[in-house]
Amino acid sequence: MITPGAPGPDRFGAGALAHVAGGAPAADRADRLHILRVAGSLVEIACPPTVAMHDLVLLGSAGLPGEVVAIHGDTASVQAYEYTGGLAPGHPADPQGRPLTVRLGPDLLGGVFDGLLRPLGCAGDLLTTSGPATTEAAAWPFTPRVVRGERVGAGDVLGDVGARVPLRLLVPPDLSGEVTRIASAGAYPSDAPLAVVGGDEVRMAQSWPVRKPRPVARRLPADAPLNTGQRAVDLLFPVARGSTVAVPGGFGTGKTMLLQQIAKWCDADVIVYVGCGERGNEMADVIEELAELTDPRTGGRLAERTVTIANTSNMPMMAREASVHTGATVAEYFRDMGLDVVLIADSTSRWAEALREFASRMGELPAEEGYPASLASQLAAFYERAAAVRTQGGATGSVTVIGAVSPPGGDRTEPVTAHTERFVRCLWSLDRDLAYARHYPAVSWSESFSRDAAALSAAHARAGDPGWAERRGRVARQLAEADRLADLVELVGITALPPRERISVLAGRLLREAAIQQSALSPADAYSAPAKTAALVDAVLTVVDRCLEVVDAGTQAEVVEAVDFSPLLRAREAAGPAETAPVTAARDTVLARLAETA
Amino acid sequence: MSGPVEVEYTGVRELRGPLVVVEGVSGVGWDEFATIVLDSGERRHGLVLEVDRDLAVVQVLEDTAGMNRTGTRVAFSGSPMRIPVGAGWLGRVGNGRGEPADGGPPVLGGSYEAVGGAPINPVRREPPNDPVLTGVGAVDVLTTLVRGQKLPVFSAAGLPHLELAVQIAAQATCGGEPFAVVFAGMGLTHADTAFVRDGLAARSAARELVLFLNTADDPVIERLLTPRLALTVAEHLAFAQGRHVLVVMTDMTAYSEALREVSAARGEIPARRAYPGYLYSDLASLYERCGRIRGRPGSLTILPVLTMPAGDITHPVPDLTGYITEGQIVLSADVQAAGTYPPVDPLASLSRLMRKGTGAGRTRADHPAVAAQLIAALARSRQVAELADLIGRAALSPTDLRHLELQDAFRDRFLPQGTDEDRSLDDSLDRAWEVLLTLPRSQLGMLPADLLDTHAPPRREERR
Amino acid sequence: MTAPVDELDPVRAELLRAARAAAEATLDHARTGAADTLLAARTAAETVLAQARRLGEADGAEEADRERVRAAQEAWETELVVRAEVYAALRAEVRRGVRRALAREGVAARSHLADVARAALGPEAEITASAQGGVTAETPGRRVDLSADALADGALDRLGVRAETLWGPP
Repeated sequence: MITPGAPGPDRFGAGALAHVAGGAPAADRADRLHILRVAGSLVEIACPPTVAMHDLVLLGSAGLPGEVVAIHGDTASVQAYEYTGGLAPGHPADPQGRPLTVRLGPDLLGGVFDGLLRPLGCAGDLLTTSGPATTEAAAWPFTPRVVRGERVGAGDVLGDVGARVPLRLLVPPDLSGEVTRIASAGAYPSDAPLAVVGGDEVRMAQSWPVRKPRPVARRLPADAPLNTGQRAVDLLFPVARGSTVAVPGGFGTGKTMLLQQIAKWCDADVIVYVGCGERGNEMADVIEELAELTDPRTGGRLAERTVTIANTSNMPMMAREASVHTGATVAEYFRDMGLDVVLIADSTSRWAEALREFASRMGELPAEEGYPASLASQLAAFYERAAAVRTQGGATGSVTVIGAVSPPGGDRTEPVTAHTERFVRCLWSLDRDLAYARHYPAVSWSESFSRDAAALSAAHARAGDPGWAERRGRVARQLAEADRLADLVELVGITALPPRERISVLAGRLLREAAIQQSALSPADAYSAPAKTAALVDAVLTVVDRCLEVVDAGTQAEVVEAVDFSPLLRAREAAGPAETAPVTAARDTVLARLAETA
Repeated sequence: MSGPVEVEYTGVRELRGPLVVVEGVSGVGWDEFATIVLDSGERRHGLVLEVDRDLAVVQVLEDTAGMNRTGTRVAFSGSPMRIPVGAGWLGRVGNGRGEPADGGPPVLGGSYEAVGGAPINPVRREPPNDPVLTGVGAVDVLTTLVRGQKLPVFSAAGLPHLELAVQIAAQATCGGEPFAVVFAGMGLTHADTAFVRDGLAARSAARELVLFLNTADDPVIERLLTPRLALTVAEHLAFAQGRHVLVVMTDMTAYSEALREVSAARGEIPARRAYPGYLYSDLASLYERCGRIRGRPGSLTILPVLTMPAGDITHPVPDLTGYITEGQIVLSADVQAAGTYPPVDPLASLSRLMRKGTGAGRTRADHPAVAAQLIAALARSRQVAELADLIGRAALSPTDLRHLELQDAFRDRFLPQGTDEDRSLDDSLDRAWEVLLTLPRSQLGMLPADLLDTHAPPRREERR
Repeated sequence: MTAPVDELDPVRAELLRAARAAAEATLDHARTGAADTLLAARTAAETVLAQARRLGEADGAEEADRERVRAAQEAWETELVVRAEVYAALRAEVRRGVRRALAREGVAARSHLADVARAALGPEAEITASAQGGVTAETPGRRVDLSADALADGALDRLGVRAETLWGPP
């Protein structure tokens, strides 16, 4: 059903020859809409005055989707979302009179889709054939929450839909009025009309234009923590529900691995994972893992709370451009039901490349490194789709956006990275040296930031953890101090340092290895509940305090350094994802060993 | 001509660089394959870059030299460029356009496939999980190549990457299952071409090899075609015929330069270092053709070889390749300077899929632990070596000194190998053990105790 | 570049059938000749191989191994060259066959082909008789080649992989 033929841009790149004079269109064809010119994914069509910018156009007899991107006189430029091989002047073009829309519904959960949200599950081994997408018509349990005659407004709840994630049937954003019909409790397919409001039928499945953010009552401050289960993040660079994160990292720094871990373990209700111009084998891997792993909170499969949009690097580049907007629309659809949604885009750099490619074909003047001048505003607009909101129906929901950035050559000054850093509230910068030393997740403590930290420390205090901010501050200081000393040690050797500084170096190692590092491959360590994270950090800090006391009391630093700290280092693997007792026990073992040195 | 009569167009409006603009055409689709006949009767080939009303812009693969406006005829095939595929390719040598370069008749094949290929549906991909053994110890033990993976060799001018590529292509096996190698050479010198053909003669004689060779003096545009022909033939051998296929593509830097040259000829807006902005997607359209497909027996593994200009890993070609591929094998000038072949830098090298392709039932039960421990120990050795440079060997602890010994043992007993030495995995792993056991047991914490007991008999420990 | 030729289909089909029949008949005929050529080449190669094998058994050295590979490679190269000759012979034979067929039909064939060409290029197309038989047709900007050799090459291309029966499984 998707993407015939060649991947990437055109098979050999773009080929617009602007200066070649066009011949006159054949007179006998002027009466019907047809294609005039094809240059890769850019198609020019004869255009009636009714066609609007961003309208969807179906091209050729196969009906390849495309979007109107420019209108000049009686012709329009259409950006095709698929391989246009074989399209010729004279072939039909069929404007749809509406922008690119996607079908939203409960069946998105657990599914894998392409960039235009067409299901891949029922497509063939190779994405060559063109034809209508078919979905299995699953039935969803529905329970009404309104009665006939009630007046409802946009966003109001009409009933509950019993998927693994509790969903709702809402009055669509542009509708209000009296409920003149409401279905009784029972199981219905997603396209069955379940209610009539103000004369319009309401179904679980709805259409929405991908480039238009769904309306909300108002934005709320983002001040509730999103627990990602990744200690390096939750502890040092926490993110709030409804906030924005960028994750820049060169190749091999474990970007995709970190994002996959968050997709698996963060405590959101719904995950929308957009694999945008990335590896096919990796997509296959994450799809398989999500289908096998159990969601600790619902007991279901993790896949059942996840919508996967897979547009691998060899799938059409222009559908890649649409895929991040498609993902945002899906996320907003679930947010409107009062759910917390995390939208992960891996990688926004590949999306930006599609923007560049498109601008270049349109003959736009390039700005930095060939990117269009609109790059910054397009990035900003995408991250602005994140928010904690009061929905039209009065519920609270959120979309948190986490975008990977792949800086070419690891160069953080390149345009996509540089602009993104300005628009996001959190930055988890992945460090090549840490990754090289097999320290995962390789989140750099010196080059990352979280502008949510202040709001979240208040939230943690309200939730019964008043020491959260102090703990975070101390870890950050200790890591910075250890880094500073490490540079010194390289020059003069450890033995040249005074005892307290030697303990600082030790403290840095213990924090890194016992608390910050986390093994994605270990079932006990892959995910860390807030209590376990706090326990691990407190254990290390307590041990460090005791070490300082011991050297202050006159014990040689090398005696302390020689103590076997391995129980502490193994505690993150020894304790289950939410356990604290084994951590406390490990701490006590080490404290006892320290006591012996005194 | 079981279909419509083939019409040739003779109205050439413009010739410029590699492009010919044909007028008066009708029904010609974008990306169609064209055959061009010159006055002299010479046949050339081209691809439709753009169709605008009754004009078609055709890029000529062999260049436009000698073409004129009056004597040139262009016929369009009605489909994108296709190539015959089938087992008839095994044992054959083709040029960069897929024509025979071994004196034989054209490969007729049973069917034709479009050389652009079609993306594998990510849902239908089977995650890779079995090894391809190369007989090169450093690769098999430390950066295991996994069936369906794309693992590039990052090299630099003057390093023996071609020797390594040929050695891997000559020796690779998949545990006795049907196997084939498709070797695509882009921009090779004639001497290199001869070296490749000689080095792979045995594989060719066994009908397990297909060679596509584009030499440095062949048309540049053909260079863009060569890997696509190789991959199309390989896909058929893998997914239709159930073979495990290894595609070696060298040199991807020459390929990327050709892409840049063609892009510049078309007046496209350049991005980083004047490479076109779509370099990433273009490379991905090649590399992503590897993989396995659910329910089909074969696999397609890609080993691209590239030279990093001036040894710079942040250059766009290695950088974008690194973002697409699943790890990299890095060759080091330092190791080469020490006279060691293959000059693999074990710490900069990585196979991301190795975890899934090694261990009991795949390679050997002790393999993952041995590899992880060896890498960790080598990392420590490198730190120690740097420290020794700063503060002197005398200031090192006994453990540190042992790590220096380990590094020497690695370079003397594990890494070096003859270019025609096919080392078994058992031999390679045993050597890895030998290297590891230069360290005291206390430094081998990543190895389970039972493994240590089997491989480190007390005699060794006593000797220390 | 396609042309509506439906009304001429019977004519066209007849011509194509003649060309294809010529190709098929030639293939059968060529197969016998090819078998002899190939047999000779293969016997020679087998001798070289056997010699290399004996050499290997005698001293078991690495050099012998290489020798064996070289011999096998040379034998394969010879085989490919012979195959190419056989294929070229087939092409020549098919061309002769088509020329003969067209000559047999004479003026009728030429006028059928001219009709086909006009259907593709329009009634104003200028038709030229081709020296070896068949016609070519031209209008400003377009050309159709229905000469005997072009028809023969088309027929040979359509034989496709079946031409490999000339040399059988290697």
